[in-house]
Parts: sequence; C-alpha cells; structure tokens
Amino acid sequence: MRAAATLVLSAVLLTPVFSQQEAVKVVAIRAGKIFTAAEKTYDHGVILVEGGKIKAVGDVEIPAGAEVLDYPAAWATPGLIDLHCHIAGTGLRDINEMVHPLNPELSTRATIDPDSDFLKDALAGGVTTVLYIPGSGTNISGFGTLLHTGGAATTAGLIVRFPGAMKVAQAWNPERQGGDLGMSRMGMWWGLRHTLEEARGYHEAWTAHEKGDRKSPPAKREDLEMMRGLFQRRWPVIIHTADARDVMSTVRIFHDEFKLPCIVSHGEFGAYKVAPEIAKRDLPANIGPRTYDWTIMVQDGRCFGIAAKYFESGVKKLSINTDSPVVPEEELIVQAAMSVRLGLPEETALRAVTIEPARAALIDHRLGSLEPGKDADIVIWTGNPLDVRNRPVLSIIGGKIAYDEKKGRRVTFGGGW
Amino acid sequence: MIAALLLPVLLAQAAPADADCVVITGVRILTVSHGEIEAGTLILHGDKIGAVGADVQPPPGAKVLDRKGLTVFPGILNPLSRLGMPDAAGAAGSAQHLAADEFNPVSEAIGPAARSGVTLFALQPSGGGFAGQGAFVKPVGWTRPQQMLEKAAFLRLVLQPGSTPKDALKQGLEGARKAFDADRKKIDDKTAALVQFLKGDLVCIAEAGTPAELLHFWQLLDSIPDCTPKVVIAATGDVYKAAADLGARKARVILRPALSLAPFTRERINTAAELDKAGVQIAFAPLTETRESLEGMFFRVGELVKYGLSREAGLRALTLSPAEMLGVDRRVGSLEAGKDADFLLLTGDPLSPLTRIQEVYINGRPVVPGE
Amino acid sequence: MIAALLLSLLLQAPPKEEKKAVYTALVGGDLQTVTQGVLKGGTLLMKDGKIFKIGPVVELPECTIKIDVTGKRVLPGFVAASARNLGIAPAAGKIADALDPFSESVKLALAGGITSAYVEPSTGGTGVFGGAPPPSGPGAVIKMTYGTLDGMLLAEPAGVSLAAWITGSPSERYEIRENLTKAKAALEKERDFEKRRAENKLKPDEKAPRATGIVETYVKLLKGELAARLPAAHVEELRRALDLINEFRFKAVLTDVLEGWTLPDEIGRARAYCLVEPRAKEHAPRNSLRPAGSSIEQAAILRKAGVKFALLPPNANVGTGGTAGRDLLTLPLEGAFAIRGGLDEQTALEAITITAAELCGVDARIGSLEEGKDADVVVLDGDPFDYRTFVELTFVNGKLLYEKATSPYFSHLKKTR
Repeated sequence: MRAAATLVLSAVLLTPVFSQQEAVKVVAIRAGKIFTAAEKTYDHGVILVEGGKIKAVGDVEIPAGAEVLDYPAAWATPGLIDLHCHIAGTGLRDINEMVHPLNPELSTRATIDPDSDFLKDALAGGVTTVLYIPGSGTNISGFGTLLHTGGAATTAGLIVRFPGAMKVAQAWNPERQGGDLGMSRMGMWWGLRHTLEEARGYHEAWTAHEKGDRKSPPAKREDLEMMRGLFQRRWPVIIHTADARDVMSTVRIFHDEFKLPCIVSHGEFGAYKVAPEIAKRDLPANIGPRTYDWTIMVQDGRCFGIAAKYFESGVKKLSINTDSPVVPEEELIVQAAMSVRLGLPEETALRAVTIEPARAALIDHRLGSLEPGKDADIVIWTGNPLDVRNRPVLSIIGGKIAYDEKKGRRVTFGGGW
Repeated sequence: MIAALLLPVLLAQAAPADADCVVITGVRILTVSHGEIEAGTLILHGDKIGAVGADVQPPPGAKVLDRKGLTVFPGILNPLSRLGMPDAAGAAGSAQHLAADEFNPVSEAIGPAARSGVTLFALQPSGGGFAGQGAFVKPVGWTRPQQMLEKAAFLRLVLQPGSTPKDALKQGLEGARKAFDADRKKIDDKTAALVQFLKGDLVCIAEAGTPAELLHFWQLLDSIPDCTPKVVIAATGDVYKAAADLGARKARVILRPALSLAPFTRERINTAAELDKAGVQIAFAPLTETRESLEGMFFRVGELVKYGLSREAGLRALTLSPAEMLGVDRRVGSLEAGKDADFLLLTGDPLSPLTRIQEVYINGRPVVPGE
Repeated sequence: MIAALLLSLLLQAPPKEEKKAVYTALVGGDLQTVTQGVLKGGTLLMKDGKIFKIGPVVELPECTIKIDVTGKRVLPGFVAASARNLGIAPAAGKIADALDPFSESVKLALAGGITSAYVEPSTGGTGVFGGAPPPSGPGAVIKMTYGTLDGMLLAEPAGVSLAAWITGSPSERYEIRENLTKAKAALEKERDFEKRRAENKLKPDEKAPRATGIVETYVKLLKGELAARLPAAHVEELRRALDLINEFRFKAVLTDVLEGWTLPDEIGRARAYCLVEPRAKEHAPRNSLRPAGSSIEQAAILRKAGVKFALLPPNANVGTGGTAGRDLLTLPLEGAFAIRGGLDEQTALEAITITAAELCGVDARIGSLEEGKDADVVVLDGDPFDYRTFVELTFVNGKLLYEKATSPYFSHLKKTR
C-alpha cells in the first residue's frame, strides 16, 4: 500500500517536460455559468486549471499570480465528445477496407490527418474529443482512435487513447454484395461470433501464459491482439446497429454472451421499441445521426425523438453523435439541441455530449466533466450552447488554449449530407 | 325479409309455354336491384331473364333445374379490362381508336375468365390521353354472336400531370366544343367522339394516377361552357383525400378493392367505404385478370365489408353500379326480368370465403356446367 | 292591375343569397408584423382570406371565430425562396399543370410554418450526393393550400433561369446576351411608342409593338416584372453574373451564394438578391491568395453592404429522413444560424418572410402582417429563432390548415418551458 502511495505521490510531483511553463502557472476561468456535467451547475463560478488538469471548480478563490480569463456572461462546459466520427482522415476513402468482412487487425490511427480542416471546424464548434472510427462497410471494420481535435501538431500529440474502441457494424451496410459469406444476417452473425470466440480463446491463453499458468507463449496473432483489450475492459466495442431485431442481436451477442463493454450506436429505425432491454442491462446508447424516427417502422404518423424515447425507456447512459460527415462534426451540439426539441430534457442532452460519451468510452476518469483531477478540456460559449445562436469563443485542451476566437474566428461551419 | 315485401310485379312476367324456357328452383336469389329472395325461382327465356320471384309459376313445358342450396348472383362486371388485348406499352392513343380493333376474340385468356364469375368485360383501348373507345365483351366463344355487345361503348381518358398532356386535352375539348353545331360529315372521327362526350352521349372513363389529377381535370371541364359530359373516374387508393370533392360532385368512381394506408402510419383506410359515405357511387375493378384474381374479387370485397363498407354497396359495386356507370344497365348488372341471363350459381353467400362458383350462365346458357 | 301583379311578383321573388363573410381573429398574441414592428397583445382579424385589421384592440363582428393566442407569437407564414419536391408532381412544363395539393409534402410544410414556396418544374430524381438538374422551365410561387387548387398558384412565372450564363457553353451565353440585347431594343421601341401615344404622335393604324417568345420574357426582366435566377457560388461565377447584371440592369437572384461575403459591395451595387444557405460549407483552398470558401458570417456581411437575401436550409425540401434541423421543416433555424454568424434578428426574420417574397415578386400579397395582404399567418409557441419553438397554427388564405395539437406529427411534444 505504501509503495503504491509513493508511486502516486511521485507521479504527481513529476510534471511532463512540455508543460513545465504551465506547471507553475495557474489559469483561472471566470464564467457566468459553469455546466460541469457532474453534480452541480454553478452560476458565476471559477475553474482553476493547473498542469493541464482541473484543480478546482465552483465558488473558489483565485490564487495570486493566476492568469485570469474573464468571461462573466459566458457558459463554460466540458469539451464536447463525439463517439461516432469519420472525419479525421482524408475523406471517406480512408475509413473502409472491404476485402474481408472481418478486420480486427486494422485501425484508423494511420489515417489521422492532424492538419485536417474538419478537425479545426470541430474544435471551433466546441468538440474537443472524437472517437475516430472506421466505417460500416464490414462487420468488424477495425479499431478507432480517441483523439483531441486540436492542441497539438502531430498525431501522437492528438491521441487521447489508442485503441479507442473496436468498431462493429451489425447490419444495415456491411452486407456482402459479392456473393461471399456475410450476405445475410446468418453469415454476418456467424462471422462476428466466430471472431469473438477466437479472440476470447486467444485472450484466455495469453492471460494464462502471463499468469505463469502455461510455459510456452501462445502464437501471436496481430488480428486478435487489440481485441484482448475488450475482454480486459480497457476499451469498448462500439456497434453500428439499428432496428429492433438487430439491436437485440447486438445486445445478446456483445453483452449477454461475450460480456464485453459495448456501446449501442445509432439505434434508429424503430429500435427505440427495445430500449427497455438496453436500460435493463444499463448499456450505453449512442444516438445519431438521425434524431427522429418516422418513415421506417412507423405506426401512428408521429415524429418520435429517438433520444427522448430511449430516455423515457430508462436508458441512463445516453450519448449523442453526428456520424460525421453525415452531420458535420461541429454540429454535435445542434444534434443535442434537436434531441431537446424532440423531447429530451436539456440537462440530459448536455450530459449526452460530455460525461456520458466519456463514460461509454471508458475515459471518464480523464474527460467528460469539469471536476478536480480531470483533464482541463473546457469550452467557453457565448451563452447556453444548445441555443444555436450561441457559439464557442474559446476551446481549451489539456489546459492550453487550442482555439481562441479573438485570434481569428473560424467561420467554416456546416456542410454535411 | 325486405325482398318478400318489395317484390314488384315486373319480376313476374307471364311466360308462354316454351321449349326455350329454363326454370331454376330452390335457390336463394340476390337480385342486387330489389333485395334478396330466400327461396326463389328464376325463369330464363332464351337468353334473357323471364321472371324472378318467390312465388313464380314455372310455365308448362319448361325445363326445371332444382338447384336447392345454391345462391344466384348476377354475373359481375370488370369495368377496366384488358382481356384478350395485346401488351401495348408505349402505344399512342387517339379518341377515334377502337379497343375492339385490338381485341383477340380467340385469346386463351377468355376461357379461364369465363369460369371466374365475371360475365362482362369493359375493354380499354391502349395508349395515353384520349386513348380511344372501349367495347363490352362477354367471355363466350367467338363464334357465338353475342361475344361483343358494343364496339364503341365509352371513351377512355388517361390523365397525366404536366403541360403537354394538359394542353393537348384542353385543345381537344375546346375544339370539340366549337364543333357542336357543325355538320357531322365535316368533322373528323376524333373530334366527333369528343363532341359526343361533351354532349353526354358517350360516357368517359377518366383514369387518374393521383387525386390531384382530378382537380385539374374538373377545372378544365368546368371551363368549357354549356356541356353535360358524363364522367366515370378510375382512381388509386389515395383518392379518399378528395372524398369531399367527389361527394359534392356526386362522382362515380372505379377502385381496386383494397385497403389503403394513411401516410406514415399503419392506419388502414377503407377508401371504398369513405367514398360511399361521402355519397360517391363506387365500382370495383381487379388489379389483374388471371382467373384467381377475378375469382378473388368476392373475397376482397368481403374484406372491405368486414372493415366497414356496407354489404349492399359492396355487392352493388361489382354488378349494378359499373353497369349503370357505363350505360349498360338495361342489359346487365342485376337479376330482373328482361335483362340478360348472365348469372352465377354459388355454393353460398358471395362474401363468404368458403363459397365456390358452381355454375356460370351467360346469355341463358351454362358456360360452366354444374355437377 | 298589372302594377299590382308586378308588385306581387317582386315581393315573391326569392331573396338574393348573400355570401356570408368569414371572419377569424387571433387575439392576445404578440404580432411580429416584420415590416411595422411588434404589436404586443394585439389582435389580427382575417376576413375572406385577407388580413382585414391589425390593432391593439379591434372590434370583432358577431360571427367571428375567435382564437386566443395569448403568450404566443403571430407571424406571417414563412416563405421558402427555393424548394424541391414540394407540392408539385414531377412533370415538365408549367407549374400550374403540375400542382398537387394532396401531396404529403404540403401537409409537412404547413407543420413547419411554410405557407409559400418558389418551385421549379422538374422531372424528379435528385441523389443524396448529387445536386438537382437544371430546371426545365420558369419557376413559380405556390401556396400550401392543402386539398384544393383554388389559390394554390400565387405567381407564374416568378423567376426565369439564366443558369446557362454561368454553366452553359459559349454559344448558350452568346444567345443570352443576344436575346437580352434584343429585349433592350424592344423595350426602347415600347417606350418610344408609349411616349408618342401620350403626345398623340402615333401613325395611323400603328399598333403597339409586342415582343414574343424569349425576348418577351427578357423584356419583363428588364422592366423588373420578373427576376432572373443565376447560380453563383464562387467568386468567378459571381463576377460573371454581376457583369451581366450590370450591363443590362435587371432584377436578379443569385442562388447557392457561397463566396458572396468576399465581394459584398459589388453585389450591393448590382442590387442583386442572394439566396444564402448559412450552413453551406467549403474550405478555402490551402494555396488561395484571396479570401475564399464559405463563412457563417456571410449573411451578416451581406447585410452590412445593404445586400438583400433570403435564407435556405441544407436540404431545401421537407425531409422525413431522420436528421432534424436540416430542411424546410425548421426554416427559422437557418435564421438562428445566421444570427450565430452575426446577423441581426430583424434581418433574419425578413430573410424568411418579406425579402423572400420580394425576390419572388410577390411581396404585395405575402411576407408580412399588413392589412390587405393575404391571410397567410403562423402562430408560434415561442421566439421563432429558439431551437425549441414549434408552429402551433398555420393559416393559408385565412383557412386554418394545420393545428399542432390535432395533427399526429408533433402533438405528443409538449412545451416544457
């Protein structure tokens, strides 16, 4: 125990070299309203940032010598987080390799373009972290990367965690068109289960070896290596899935059978009808790009807000996405606003783009809320972010200013399908 | 019930002793025009119905057929038929064309059609716009003289959106209006047909792909002064949207016998029932003319009745209503003395799914003989 | 004797059937007239399809249908300056011959508060990725008169496409210039004729000169009776369009304007109208030597230069595809985005009402709440630019055609604020 305490203490004392300057300085942000995505929302509070981390939030005294960023009429929120992003590379070409239907050995890390205009737009829209994932062209398209949208010039500097998550497309796109296995749900489900079983066996063999329970190491398999992290619950699997039948299959396979940390992503086309099953298992649901369900699986001509329906069914771990570029990444907050318009409570919507995606991505010890000890990813808005007339004026990542409107307002905003 | 009280004297004609006389007894008779007779007698005189009633005396010398347990129903009409017609995609229509000229009297489709319960087909000419004039055909062999009743029975018009078809329609009608008082020898056949239409002498079946087309058509017709055209509308299931307008015009509408869905919902709409309630006269036409499809008309109408259409309107829509709409009700559409002896002997109520067609009579002779 | 007979006949004559006037009054709401400020708690009285009286207190005839709209806002119906697949069947030729008042799109538009739209004839088919093909004929303004053709066509032609000037071949451009030159000459002839007629200097049997065909259309352009529409996204297209406009001085509507913010004064001098999609996004080329690409501030910049414009959503149709806030169902949201970019609220409101009407040439009839104009009126449950605001009532030509509470679309969404 004492050894661990010493370890922790020394980690705190040892500050990373590149932020040595900031290590001495404390930054105090004064805002008219602080939405922490934690227990309290503060009126006229202060956020103290030191060493890239949040030191204190709320009614706190500003220490002498602190640099004060004064935004008395503004809102401060955690940097927004989008778990379903496809725009950090170079166009749609970068997100699908469709020779084989199952590609757990692939990842988006190599395709990240740190200079991307789309990431800059996202940052100026208040999105500070994205889970940049491959597309839905295959059942397992590879591993995504959790990265910041700015604040560093290199890919390595942007990465929050790699692997971010494994991306699975249950159906509604990965159907094989060339006549090979995976044309129907029979083939697709078989492929998914087969790979998961193999990965589980691989993980168990290596765990045994690591524990010393077996002498010779099992063969290395690069296609299953990153999948170990799923069974170790270090990163989740995010599944593109929709309609009640397929969402239930997702839930059955990934949660009930293989007990993996999973995220039900999209969840549209009438899948809201099985939201109680998701609630029962306390699984994260990640809604978007569609914010309403209408033309498919409709019964009575009503325009149902999908997030609202999940919320009403008791789903607590509710997050919202853009599926960028379907909806532009910088419009993540607009997706939240539209969900509110269609029946989701305001606070739930704000949490759905901050703490809940962080929780689902197993990164909430660092991101997602303005709480002491967490990374200082903070966005300052001209007012309530959900009101689309408001905009970010300052984005801070890891305690450093990554976007400052005063130095040049980013005016490209929008696009999409 | 009502039948017994409403038996008009008309139904009982004094039938002379005749070898050409056939009497069918012991049957339940659904006349369509005058109610239902529980235990009745049908007297055939040659190719016509001689008498229908509960207490009708068979004349001496007549051939008596006891069909106890069976139900007699008039042969049904298909007001939108392409029986024995060629596949004519892309054909250009013109008001003077005759469907009779395209009809194949020895088509193999006619035999099976005869067993289907449909005893009169209103043949539609090919093409768009004013496509031509249709004919009435009974599904009997071509050597029999009464296969084709009328060669130029009605006009067919296919309504289409867009300026080109509408301008053509306007030109045709305005030209015809101007030719009202012209010498018949001086006007071409095409204009002559349109003149007949505008004067009310030639009924026109106007087929509309959407209810909006009807609004455009009425706007045009209303703009032509001093004419009394007779129009029958052939419409799609969403025509319920125009039910109020149709009711106000006391329109006559041919429909497929099917339920529709309200947009964005699974809410069933019984278009036929909606129109009937709005005061519109309705008739049914099948989607295709295979034997199963034609026979299935009873089943489909039964479903509509199940979901709110009145039984009376449903049965009338298969028989007397299309006959009245197309001006052939003097001869067919109901079981009344003087009309053609076109009828079906059914094993039960026409709207029961267990009922079979046992015999089909056309022009007084069995097309499908009984056991 | 005869007199008595005549008298008795007169007395027996059936009384003339007088058509009773239909009065509807909206009482107690805040009337945002657009052109004459806001009248709080006023009354708007409609009579036989027209706005009859507006005032703080209005005497209401006995048979008036009174609707209490206290706490709500009353605005003119919104005008979509361009719309696809709305209220017309796919067909070439005149819009008058393609009107479809039973289309579901009309019902949906009413739910979004749209009462009029500029449409062009099309033969259908627009891809998700592809743009619309050029129109096959002049455009028209149609009203959302669900269920009837009466009053559905407001103005035809309401715009003539000169797209060929921008995207056509050199010979097409030559033809346009040639015909405009002919039109100029024809107009001079007309004016000369009128002058001589006024001075009684006409030759015997001299008839007024009449241009025909395309030249007649262009004469209307030069007279300002008709507007030309030119697609002009980028600077080179804008310059080409402005050259033509400045040479022949006609009323022009520049569509798809993207880089207009880089030359606002020139657009202002040409007095051209713009159709602006605030969320159209295009990144400036990296090696661009001049300001380029899109800007969320475009509307505000154009306003400063005195340029008039209408606002449009990313999808100028009524969508049911699931992504809320990107189509005509939420047209006022585009105003909110323009405000985000720095535009003032009054201009944003004009851009979806009176200015949109003006550039279509129908501002004498619609676009503001003024006595004598058509009773195309919407009642909103809040600020039009608040993302949570819904349309509660929509009137077209004085008839109530949409009621949120009784329509299945949104009646389950109750106001929570």
